[in-house]
Amino acid sequence: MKRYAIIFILIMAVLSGISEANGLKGKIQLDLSQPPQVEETDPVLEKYTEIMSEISITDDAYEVVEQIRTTVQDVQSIAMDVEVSEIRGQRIERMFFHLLGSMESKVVRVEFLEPSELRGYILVADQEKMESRMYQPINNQIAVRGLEDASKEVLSTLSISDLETFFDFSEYSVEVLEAAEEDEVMDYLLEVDALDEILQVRVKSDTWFPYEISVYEGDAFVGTMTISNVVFNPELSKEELTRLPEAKEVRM
Amino acid sequence: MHAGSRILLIICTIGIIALGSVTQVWAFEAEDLPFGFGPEGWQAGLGLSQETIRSLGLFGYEKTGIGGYLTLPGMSEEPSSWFAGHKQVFMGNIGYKLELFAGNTKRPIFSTFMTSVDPHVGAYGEVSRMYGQVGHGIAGTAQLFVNELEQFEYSISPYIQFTRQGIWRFSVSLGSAFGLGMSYAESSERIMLDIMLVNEGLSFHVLFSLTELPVKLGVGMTRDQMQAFVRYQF
Repeated sequence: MKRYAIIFILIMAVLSGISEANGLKGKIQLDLSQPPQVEETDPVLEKYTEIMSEISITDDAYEVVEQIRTTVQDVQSIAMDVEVSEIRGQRIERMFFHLLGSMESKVVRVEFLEPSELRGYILVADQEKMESRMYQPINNQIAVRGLEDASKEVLSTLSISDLETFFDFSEYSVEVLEAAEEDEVMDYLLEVDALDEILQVRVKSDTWFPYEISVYEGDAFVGTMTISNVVFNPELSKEELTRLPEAKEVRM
Repeated sequence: MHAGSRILLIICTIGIIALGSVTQVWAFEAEDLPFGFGPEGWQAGLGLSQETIRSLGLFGYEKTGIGGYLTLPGMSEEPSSWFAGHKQVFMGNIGYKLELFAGNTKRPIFSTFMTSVDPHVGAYGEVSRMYGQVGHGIAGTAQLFVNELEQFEYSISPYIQFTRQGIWRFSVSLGSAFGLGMSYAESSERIMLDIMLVNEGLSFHVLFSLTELPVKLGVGMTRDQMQAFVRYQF
């Protein structure tokens, strides 16, 4: 969530910059009737500066983070298998799904394979239409929801479509915990301090795409996301991404 | 108690329960005019249904509603009615349904309203579990007839189900009667079919929904009865 806070602050900073720039257009008028006032500091910019000043990143970590950022920067579409293991109380809940996403058409498609309670479910989140469609095998129906009413799970799924932001760790304090070489490929373990949570990110130098992200809240291990079978820029049409089995639609 | 006043009592009771449980919205979402011909001649009436859908996270939702109909057969003074309140929950590939009903017709299969049944109250429950395209479940019905004999009937129907151009379901009915069943619901639910063999008697029901008109056509056939109907939705 802090990641979104930083993005929000960044947007606000850019917006305030734009509005300041717009204010400079036209004639300059000086009001000499009043004494000059002390310039007020922008609290948003102040907060942004404060956060940015706290960020520390080592040179080798910066190099890895930049390589990841450069890799995801040019990705227009992606296909990958994702496994999420999450600790809930005494249980470990495991979810496995195939994810397809197109940055161009702003559509993410998630095909759930595990656990069996979710096998056969297909989620299509369309950011342009601002709606999500979920095929449900239990009753052979498609549940249609507006994204404004969507759950945080749908919204976080959509945020994956913004790969550049999702895998950009340059706004955080990052350090390299491990670096091992095998068959001329470097395997890095980064620790990313995302303010309210710690991410441990594994990435190899042959792809520069994270293949494992472990999340910690304080010292407590929360879960792991493992990414495999990544294909960059596969040909994915919007029709292909949004196609669902023929079924009755139910608008929620 | 006269049969007619018993029916009214049942209808009123169900109505009060429904009013108490569904306080969010009190507006019927679907109304229709059933019009059909069967063993008791022509019959016409009014069907009503109301349902609220509540989302349960990303993978689930809950449907709560009431519905039923009241028709007047041409060859009988006694109206035919069937009303029910239901709750249905889907959470991932697991679903359950509970329905409480009262009426003097059989529990409708695709809204086929067969008559000549004593007034009764009952419950229907179903639990289903899918594994992608295949699944299984169990459904059960119990009903108590409000007559001198106070007859009680029940059935338990385990079933298997798979999805292929629609939902196919094969079931065995155990309990007061033994039966075998097969049902099919086309993907967009335009065609629905139900065949049941109970105690060597075959029953057959089919429902067609016309896409271009708010009309449903249905036919129901048992060993000794046949009925066709049109339901006009407005």
